Amino acid sequence: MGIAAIALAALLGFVCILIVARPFLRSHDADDTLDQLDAIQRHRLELLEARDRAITALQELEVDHREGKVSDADYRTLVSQLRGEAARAIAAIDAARGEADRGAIEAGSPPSEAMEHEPASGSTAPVEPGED
Amino acid sequence: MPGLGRAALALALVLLVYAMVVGSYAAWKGRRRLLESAQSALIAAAAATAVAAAVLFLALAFTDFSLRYVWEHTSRDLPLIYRVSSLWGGQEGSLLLWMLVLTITAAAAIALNRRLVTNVLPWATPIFAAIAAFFAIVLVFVSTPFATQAIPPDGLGLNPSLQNVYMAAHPPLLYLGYVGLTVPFVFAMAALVSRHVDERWIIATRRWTLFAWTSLGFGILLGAKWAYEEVGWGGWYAWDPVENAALMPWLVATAFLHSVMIQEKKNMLRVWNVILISLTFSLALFGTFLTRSGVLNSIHSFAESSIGSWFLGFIAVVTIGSSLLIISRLPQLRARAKLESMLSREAAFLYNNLFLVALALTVLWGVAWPLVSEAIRGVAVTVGAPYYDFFAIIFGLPIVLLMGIAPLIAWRRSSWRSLRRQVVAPVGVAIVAGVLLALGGAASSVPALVGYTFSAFVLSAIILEFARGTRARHSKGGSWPGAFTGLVARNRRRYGGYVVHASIMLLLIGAAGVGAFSSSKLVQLSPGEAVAVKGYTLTYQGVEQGHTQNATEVRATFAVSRDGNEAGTISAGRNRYFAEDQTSNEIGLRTDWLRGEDLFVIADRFDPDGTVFVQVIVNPLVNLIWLAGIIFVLGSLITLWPDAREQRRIAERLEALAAFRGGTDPLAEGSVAPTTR
Repeated sequence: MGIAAIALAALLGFVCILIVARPFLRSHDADDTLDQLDAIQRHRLELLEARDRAITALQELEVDHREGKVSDADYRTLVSQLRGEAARAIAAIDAARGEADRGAIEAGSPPSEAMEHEPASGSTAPVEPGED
Repeated sequence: MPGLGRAALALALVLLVYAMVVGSYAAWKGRRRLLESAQSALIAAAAATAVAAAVLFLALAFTDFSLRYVWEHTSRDLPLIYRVSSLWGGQEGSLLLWMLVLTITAAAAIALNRRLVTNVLPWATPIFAAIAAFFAIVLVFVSTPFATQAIPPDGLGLNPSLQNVYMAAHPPLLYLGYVGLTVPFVFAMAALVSRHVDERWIIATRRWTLFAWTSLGFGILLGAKWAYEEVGWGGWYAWDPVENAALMPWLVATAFLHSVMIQEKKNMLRVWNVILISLTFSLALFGTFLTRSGVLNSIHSFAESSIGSWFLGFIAVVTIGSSLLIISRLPQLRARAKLESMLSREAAFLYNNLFLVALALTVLWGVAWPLVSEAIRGVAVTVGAPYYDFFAIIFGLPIVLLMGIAPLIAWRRSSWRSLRRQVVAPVGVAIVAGVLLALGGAASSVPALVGYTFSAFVLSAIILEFARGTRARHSKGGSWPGAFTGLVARNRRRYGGYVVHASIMLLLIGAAGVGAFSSSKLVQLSPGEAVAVKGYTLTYQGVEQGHTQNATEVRATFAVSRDGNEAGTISAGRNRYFAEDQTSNEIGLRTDWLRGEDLFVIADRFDPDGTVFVQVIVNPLVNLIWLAGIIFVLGSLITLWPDAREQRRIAERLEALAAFRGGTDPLAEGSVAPTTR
């Protein structure tokens, strides 16, 4: 191994050590815990996902019905079932928000921002032909 | 600078071991800075591997024969493109490329998924590092590309059959595919370890899976094009174990891409999806093992191979480890929803899954049985094309049929009456097409006629879906082209998928054309004599000799006429390579794009009296296979294109989550409580 190769290898090693050590060198934040959702937050996120899933399914059902892929009888059964799922998810979100607000007030923090009973904008957009 | 290459690989190994050990500890204890350091080590390992690859790349480009690898795979006369592509022409270089793509992919996948899968991501780092560390161990201790020697005057050259432009692109695409499939596997395993088995890992890795699947699929087709032009037997796919090695993970990944939609929409098939992705990754490793261990030559060469037992051990660890992990997480993985009807789109996806996996396992058995037989009984057996053709038809035709039916069935539940109404037009088109083709002579091959009829059904169903959607959008105003592009842009996944389905149908039509209706004649010709095949007449004009940078050429030239009209000349013959001391067949090819057919000429024996032994083949519709490849990539690109609405939906969901707690971003640094276990 020649001198140039040794020098380049040493330089590469030094740069790699710097890269690996960087998180310890740049961060003086006392909090060293991972940014992760706790069980309560995960439950809330699951509720939001369940609501969006139900609303997306309703949109798909509309498209399938309009294209004749679902009979009127099946449409009526499924639409009431999916509306029920969406309503249950929204009610659960409301309940969770109420709990969060009560917790915030008890802790002296401002309550949660008002949460609309609207799904994320992608889901509230009017149903377009051919959309899943 | 072989020393620098060796040092870079050793450094990469140390960094990967650090990322694996420290990353595992950080994920277990919820330590942010340690995890960031482990992730940085993964990035540094990618950089160190890139340095090692650059050293080998330069050594190949400048024919530094002090490196044994360069001596074994290049020569001074070898054109630059093949000197460079010999990076993946041998075992050590291939493994280095695997590791390079893997470390870069791992670093990118972790960097790009920080927000979506926060609870899963910490475990992805050590798992990625563990897989990459295996390759680093092999490259450092078992099969190094930086072994040195006394400098010889010239190299041994590259196998002539690998001196082809398709072979320059085919292996890297396969590696992109194999390595890309590592991403969903790693995130699935991370989801299992962290016990966060919802569908978020699927959403986070969907595009990685699609990209890998597209690369693998296109790579397989480029390999077929290479075999068609370079191996020169007139066919395009021979069910060779090396070809099957890439096909198996592609088939299972296809099943996975369909079944994840059911998990995303209905939170079902969670066990099935982690099994599928584990099987896909194991098959990707098995494919690399098959092509690199020497096991395909014989069990004995496998026993002598330096890496065979290492790979077999790693495949065993991956398969057993992922199986145990899946079993241990079964309580969390059990679905909460049920299949509502056996006549629904999700049920159709499920049937398609079963056929795809059955086909993949059948191919696996065909590949493995000769190896098992030789190892256990000491008897060498071969599994030929009839075995594969039989199962390709048995499982392939239902898959094709489902490709036509599934888009016409509703999600959740449909009725036979609705389905009958939906399939009337495509079935009508298929029957008319079948009858017309039978009257036109296609009935001479029943499998081909059935294939064409099914293809007509699927293609008309796809066109119907596009037409119906475009008409509905047009009815709201705007131009027809605007309605069409708007339709595709609003739902790229669905309509991109239809384009991919259409490409598979083109491939089927082309494959049936070659398989059932090609014509061939083998003759001995003297100058001035002619041979006629399926409307073509070839008149032998004589032999010409020439030479290229690294070979001498002998070519027989033929004047071609088609239905009595002159159509130029075609040449075929052999090349003799100096450094390699090998010969290769160089076929003559004349493509009629309008008919999609090829005139294919093989001239492999030249007698001193000027006669030549020539095989003339006419392959109808074969070019639809290559056209299918282009359309396949186009459809995949449509599906892969980022969907701003989906990104917005995810972002707004996270904002809504933040609103629970008075407007704080739940994923902002330092704002979240430690992980609960």
